[in-house]
Amino acid sequence: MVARARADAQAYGTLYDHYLPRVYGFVARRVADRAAAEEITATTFQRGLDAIQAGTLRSETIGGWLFRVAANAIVDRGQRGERAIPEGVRAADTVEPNAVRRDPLVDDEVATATFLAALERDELRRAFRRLTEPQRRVMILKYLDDLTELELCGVLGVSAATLTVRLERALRALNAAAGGASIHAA
Amino acid sequence: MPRSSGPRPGGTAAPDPESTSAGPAPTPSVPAPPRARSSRRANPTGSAGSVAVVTSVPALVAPPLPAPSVTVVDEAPVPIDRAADPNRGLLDLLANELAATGRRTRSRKAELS
Repeated sequence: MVARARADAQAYGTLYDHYLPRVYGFVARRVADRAAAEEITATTFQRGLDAIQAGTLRSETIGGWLFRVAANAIVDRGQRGERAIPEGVRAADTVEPNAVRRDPLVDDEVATATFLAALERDELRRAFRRLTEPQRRVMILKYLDDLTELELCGVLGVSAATLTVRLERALRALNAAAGGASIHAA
Repeated sequence: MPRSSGPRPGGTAAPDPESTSAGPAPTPSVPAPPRARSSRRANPTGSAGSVAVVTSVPALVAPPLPAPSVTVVDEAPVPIDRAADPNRGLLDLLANELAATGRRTRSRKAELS
């Protein structure tokens, strides 16, 4: 599909229709402003089109790639809000050389707060807060954003084996922090 | 105890020129460089009857370390056998609960937007 989209605008339209609701949802769960969420989503797909036309995207990685670009755009917007940055210039390009560059997906506080608020059990909520940042991140991406395994690998930049282990360890850590035996189906 | 006329660890001559006896050298206060010294180097004149100066040289081979008490964990992910996990049922229930929470959140958000 990606190969077809390189020469065929209609094929890219099919990809757009497939990913648009999910990418928009991903952004909207992190950006409260609706107009900003739409702008970030549009930017993400524009970059996707550019990458496809440049031949740097493959079919199996486009999903993870789009979510990754969206996450970067969210952080870029956050940085833009802190400093005056001219239009057309990426905020990341204006960061001071010695500044500590934050991992885009670390800025998932809004999504984490949304997910925590939706959890029905207090002990699970407390346990979730005790997880490490990477553990919370992988849980949010999987259970809140409903990313597929391939998309998760693309977003996190890990292999499928590493992802499986990371997810399993996060689940066990949550289970242990919640008291284990107190788990029951919602 | 006589002083050594042999070369010092740094390669300089001993400061006492009157001392000609070449008895066993004292252990130098500065550790010698980790290299073996031959008798030829210790006695540059090579005259017969001279006694080679032997300096103590630290052992080049370190004694074997005791067996490590901590197992080194490899960076590569270790596959997890969930089938053999006694908590498997609990973990599955927990995963289902998290997935249901995610579904609820997504649908609620979709209704709002």
